[in-house]
Amino acid sequence: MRAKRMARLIGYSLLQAGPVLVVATFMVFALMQLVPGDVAIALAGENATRARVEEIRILYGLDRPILAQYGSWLWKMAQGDMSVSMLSAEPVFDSIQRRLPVTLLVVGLAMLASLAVGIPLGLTAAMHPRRLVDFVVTAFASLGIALPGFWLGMILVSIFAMSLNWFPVSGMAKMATDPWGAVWHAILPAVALAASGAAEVARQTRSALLEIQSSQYMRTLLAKGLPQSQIFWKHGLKNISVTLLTVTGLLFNRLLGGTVVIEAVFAISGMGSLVVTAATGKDYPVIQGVMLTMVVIVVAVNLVIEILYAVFDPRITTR
Amino acid sequence: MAVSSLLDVDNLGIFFETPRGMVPTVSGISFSVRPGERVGIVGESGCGKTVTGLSLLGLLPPQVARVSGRALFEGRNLLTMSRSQLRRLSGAGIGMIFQEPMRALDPVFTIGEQISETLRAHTDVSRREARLRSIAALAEVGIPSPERRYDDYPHILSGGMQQRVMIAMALICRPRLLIADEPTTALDVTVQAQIIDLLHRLSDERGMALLFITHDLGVVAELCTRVLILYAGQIVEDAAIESVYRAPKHPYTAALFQSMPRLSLRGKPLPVIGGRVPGFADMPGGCRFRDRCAYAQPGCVRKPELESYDDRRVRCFRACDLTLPGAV
Amino acid sequence: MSRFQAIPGIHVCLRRLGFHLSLGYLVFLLLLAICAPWIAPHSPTLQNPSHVLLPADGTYLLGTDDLGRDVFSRLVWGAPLTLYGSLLAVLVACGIGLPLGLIAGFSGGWIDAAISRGIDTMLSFPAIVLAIGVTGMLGIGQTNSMIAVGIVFSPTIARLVRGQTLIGREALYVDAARCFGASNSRLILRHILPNAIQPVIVQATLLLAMALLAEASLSFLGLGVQPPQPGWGAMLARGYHYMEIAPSQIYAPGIAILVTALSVNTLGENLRVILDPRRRR
Repeated sequence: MRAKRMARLIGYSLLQAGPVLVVATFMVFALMQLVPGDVAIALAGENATRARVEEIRILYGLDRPILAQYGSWLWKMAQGDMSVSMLSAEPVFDSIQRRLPVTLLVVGLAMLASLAVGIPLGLTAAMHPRRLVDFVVTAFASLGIALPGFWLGMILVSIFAMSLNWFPVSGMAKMATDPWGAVWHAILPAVALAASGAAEVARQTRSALLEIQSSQYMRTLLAKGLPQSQIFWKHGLKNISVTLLTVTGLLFNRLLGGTVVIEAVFAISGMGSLVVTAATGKDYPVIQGVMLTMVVIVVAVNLVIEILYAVFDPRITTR
Repeated sequence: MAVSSLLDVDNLGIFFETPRGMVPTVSGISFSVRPGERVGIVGESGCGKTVTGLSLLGLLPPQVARVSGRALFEGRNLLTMSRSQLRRLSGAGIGMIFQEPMRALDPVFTIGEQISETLRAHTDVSRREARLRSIAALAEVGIPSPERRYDDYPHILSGGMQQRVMIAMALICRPRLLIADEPTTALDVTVQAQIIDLLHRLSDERGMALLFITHDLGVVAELCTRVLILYAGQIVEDAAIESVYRAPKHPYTAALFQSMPRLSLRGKPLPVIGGRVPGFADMPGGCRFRDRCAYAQPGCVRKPELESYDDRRVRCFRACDLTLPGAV
Repeated sequence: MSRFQAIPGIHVCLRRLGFHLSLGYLVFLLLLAICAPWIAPHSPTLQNPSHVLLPADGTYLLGTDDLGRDVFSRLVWGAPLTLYGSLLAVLVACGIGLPLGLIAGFSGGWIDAAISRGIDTMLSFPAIVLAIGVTGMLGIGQTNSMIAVGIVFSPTIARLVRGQTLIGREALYVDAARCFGASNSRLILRHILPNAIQPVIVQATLLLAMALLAEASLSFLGLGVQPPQPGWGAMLARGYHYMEIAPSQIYAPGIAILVTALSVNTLGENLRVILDPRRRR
């Protein structure tokens, strides 16, 4: 019966993710509509001849209705053909493929650090409400949320890379040939990125545990005479895991965005520097490619979380 | 009396720390429950009946609640015993059920797991044995096909079934006393009657005492043998159920009866008790019911004590000279 | 029966202190931004090749940058730019989010479904990436980039307003206003909007802090404030290049961003408590 429920939930979540992907890809496609003036001129370059502009118009199908354009664009994207960069003429798919692992490495490390620091801090604060620990954690969280990650990155560089020489100042090692070197390079960026993440996680964990502690079922568990440790480790943890899953999903989204700025500080050539260069240079295909990749990743992560959610919370049904 | 009683509460007081200092919510509560006896605690919401029940198992929020007095259960003081002693007694010697079963059950564990973990916390039984006994307990509280329900989550069940699960869970270790905090208030009337019958039967079969907290005098009449009437944090009347119904001695008790719907009142407006329960932070001196009492006299500005009259205890200066209408 | 009131402990006192401090700071910052031309001792853009990377002294309170510009003056001039950018983003977010949320909540049906799906989808993009993408399409520059940030933040407001509108609409069915033939727009303006406005104020304040950080980030990336304008994020980007020679120059703009974002957040959290209708006080 449980297997059946799970199968139904997975199917349902996949069905849910479908429309989100359609709308998301349409949004990425429709971004081009924001370009001021004639898109064909923008794509051809300002000095292009009239004939060249018309050629581009036909080539990109800009003369066709927008939904038809979207359809063929999506079809190309689905096949991995993301067109070529207007600046470097490199296929967008190739540069994304090269840069994505670097970004995911930094984000992954930052996720681990945020959760590993944020969850224990939040739990500790909630277990001693209104005590000094609670105050310190809350203050740390407020500070962390207001802290510009890229500025923290600079300070980390000046201390740990320039003065102490513990870590490399910038750049990234080749992941395929030197995986440990890559991790080594990713540590400072991940820390800079994780500060605000850990703060947010600590805050959410704290309020979730406080809410659980004041719930009526916690009172029942006390009235049943369960040992304190069992109440916390069995009931508290399983109940809070539901919240933590949601937090993890939001955290991933947040860190994936934050890494864009952090990559600039550490001169890492990941997705962030790619999209920033593209935005500065009006390289529209690259902008679209990066955004598409990122939204697909986020939707996929959310899908996994949705399914895990159902494992932890029996109340979630397909309705 | 102390020898024969199961629970002996003496001068219980509960205080809450508020921005305006310590505020007493109940004070001078003394009563006793004999083994197998069913006692009702009745009062309006906010009179302190729920905190009284919670205080016995140490369930009040420790940051803000302070408890004074004594509550002896089988000769041991619940209010001063260590946390681990109280833990071993909770669920095993004293069970407790609550007002909203949906919120009182942990939503992410199966009902079977929640019952067997209670058993396993107090006795040394195997997982298998715990499962079998939990299923038996589910059957005993009248849950159909208990083997299948064992693996259900609370949200699937109806409110009445959830309360039955709560009862099975509270009784799995065969406690000598069950504290029931408005267990039927959140339920439909027909389900209410079933739960009352169930509690009645289980208490009879097991010789289990019952402390039944409610605002409903009618329910108490069906279930209990004795009733404590609480008003503004004090016991105002303590008597056997028949004598209270026939002839209440405290004007508040009588007023409660008057405001109960009954057939003889059909077509007439239901009498209500005028005024409001005074707040604990600004409690009047003297008799606390004075301002709402139809029989108040100038002498009522003095503080009345809970005194014995014949078969009962009453907190009223006029207990001897008043003849008040009962429910029959 | 669980209305146990909290005691005002040290945490409440600290919260009030934080509220007053942040309010005071923000008023100060606003005055600073308005009076920047009179407060700044030097021109923020005047280059002086003979006074490059000077340490702090009596003339240059925070030293000079690599082009010989006074860092303190640039910091002061950065305040109006930063505030303008952040407020613009919040205004755009409210300008798009409020009507969308009202329409979705009030009309229901497929319109609501479409708008809600759009909101959900926009929220699945990492915010800053979406902002960069929109900026790239609109063209870089402070106004464009902050409009982009505003667009990216608008679903948050829309979702909130939609929820509030739904609550307001439910209450209205009990209300007689409908029976008296009041028009829809009148219903929205007179009955629904006032109820939705308080949470929007709180949310907008919290968004302001996020907009501030986004402004700094985008300026740092070179997509927002353009040189020679003295944005705080842009100052950090510039200072970062010669951090090895003059490390102190990255402190002042960073602290300015941190303290401002912290103050706005503190203000928002306090507004949430003060404006909470469940707390009658």
